[in-house]
Amino acid sequence: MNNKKSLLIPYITAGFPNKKLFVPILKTLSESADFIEVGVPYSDPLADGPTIQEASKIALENGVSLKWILETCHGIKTLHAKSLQQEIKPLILFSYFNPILQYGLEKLLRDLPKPLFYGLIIPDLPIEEAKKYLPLFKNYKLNLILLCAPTTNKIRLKQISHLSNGFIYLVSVTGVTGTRNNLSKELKNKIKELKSITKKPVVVGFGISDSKQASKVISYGADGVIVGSAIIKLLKENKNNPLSRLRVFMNSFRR
Amino acid sequence: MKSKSKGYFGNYGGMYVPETIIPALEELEIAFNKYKNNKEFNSELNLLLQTYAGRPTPLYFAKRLTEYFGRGKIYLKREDLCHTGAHKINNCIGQALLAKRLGKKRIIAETGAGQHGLATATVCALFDLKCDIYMGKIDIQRQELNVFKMKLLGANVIPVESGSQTLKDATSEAIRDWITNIKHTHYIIGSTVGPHPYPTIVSYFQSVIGKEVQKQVSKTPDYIVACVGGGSNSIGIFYPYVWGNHVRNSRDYSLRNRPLLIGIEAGGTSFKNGHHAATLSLGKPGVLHGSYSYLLQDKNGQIQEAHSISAGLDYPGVGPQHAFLKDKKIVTYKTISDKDALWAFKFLSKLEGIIPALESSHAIAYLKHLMPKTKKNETIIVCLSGRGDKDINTVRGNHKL
Repeated sequence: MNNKKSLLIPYITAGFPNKKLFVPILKTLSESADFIEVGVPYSDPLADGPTIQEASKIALENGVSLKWILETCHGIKTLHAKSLQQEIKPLILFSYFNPILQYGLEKLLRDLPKPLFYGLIIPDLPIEEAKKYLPLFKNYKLNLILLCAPTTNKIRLKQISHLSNGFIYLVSVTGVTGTRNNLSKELKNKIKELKSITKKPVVVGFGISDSKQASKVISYGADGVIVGSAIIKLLKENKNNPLSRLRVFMNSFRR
Repeated sequence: MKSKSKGYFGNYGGMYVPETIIPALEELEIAFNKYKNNKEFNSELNLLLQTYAGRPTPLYFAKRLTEYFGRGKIYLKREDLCHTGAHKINNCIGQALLAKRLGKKRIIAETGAGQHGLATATVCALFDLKCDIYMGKIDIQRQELNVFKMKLLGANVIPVESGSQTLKDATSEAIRDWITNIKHTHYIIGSTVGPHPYPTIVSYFQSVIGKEVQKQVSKTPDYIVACVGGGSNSIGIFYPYVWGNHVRNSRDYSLRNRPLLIGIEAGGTSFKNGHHAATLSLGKPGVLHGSYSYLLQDKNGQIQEAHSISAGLDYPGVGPQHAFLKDKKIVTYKTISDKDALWAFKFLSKLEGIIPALESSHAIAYLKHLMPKTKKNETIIVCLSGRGDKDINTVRGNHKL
């Protein structure tokens, strides 16, 4: 990923491995990231593989809720003064729909600190269900970033890229989240197809675990990558010095 | 049926799933709409229902049961006599025929009590399809016999060790598998749950239960009682009385000539969180496994664990049609405790020589509350959704005969 214009978007499950590390992790990631995806833990994460499922479970056991995430992020804004706020890159809330529904979608959009939050990703809200909520997102100046999959046909790709705000999230594999050794052959064509349809940035996620894969995806024409399970694994495996290891890992993408 | 948009029953239903599986859902919907009125499809389906599944199932006049209560006449719709021992086979045959036409070579399914897993394994043997069944580790222990049968039929039973290790987590794992293997795999959901078009498809294939009842009775019954987990046997038997032609034409849901429809949920051991599976009675609306319906959940929207002595009712969600029918007050929902279900299990066995599934025992147990209110000239139909052989171990552990 030599190209500095490429977007680097790490994902973390909020409150994993513990609540105390949440803000320090955001700070560390902000040194190299362009955006940070903040995952809301959920009891039944359908689109996630074992790594993020486990992180979600641990975060829930740690007492993390959407309310806690919001309070903590408001804390970033108020307690730590302006300097820290600038240190933290724009955040994207990643949440399954039910925790949002129970909190209240409009209430959430109102309560999310702005401009700290750039938008939301809701993996179980396809365009059929998302459409009716788009005006709300507009009112609160937050982007609803929609997902495309390898199985999405051209007609739907057009609809999704038209409706998606901020950028478009292309799922790299037919499957759930988790690190993988190889990128699929179809990915290159899918990126090309999507780029020919839209001028909005296309970021690729699910299964991107190292800088080599990231560079490949960028060379296919993507505008950025999302790295999730690899970061969760790293945090799990490096309990003693998670932040320094995280810094080294993130920097490897910028070399 | 009024619906706001595609796949909705009032406010309930929808397709809240990752984009990856949306094309497969669309493909399935198109195939279902194409074949449900297709002559060749229906003759194949009907022949199998008759000669393989054993339909129509009898509507049995339960004389001793009727005499015991001394009020209205009680009839049992004998779904327990279906091949594989429960109504689940109706849906599995229908969906397997669709899968075949979609060119899918592999079937996956979730199962709780094992009855749906067993029915799925059966149709996969029949149609020579590869079969993987997701089942919670706890359910594998309490439904040993069905696990053995599934393996005997050539299915692979995959233990699910996440979460509560029961039906909810088996369903989540099945959906994850489907997301991964969507191109060549069909997911046979066993109940009227999941994203659109599943609730519509499953209730359509189960509606055979109610359509037969209509033909088997000389006058419209006064009461129909069925247990509700995800809600497939109950929707099946209620179907013509809720969405039949005479209802649709009348545009009036509070139809005079309709039986009183009663759905029985699992009351478990108490109404405390985690002690029951009474989703409609005690839950609130939210999204689980692809549709918007009633759920057992905490204030943060995390799904709570359900409990029922019967594995088939042990689920924190319920089909969106039931949520709609509850809100519109078309169906009344009540609960029956583990203890009363066990009583009914033993009671029906001794009185009628029929060992009911623990799921169906919940519907039987409700007669204790219902019968005193009925009159001699009234008829009551109970959907006996399955037979109880599979529950012998659970009952043995809980009850002295």
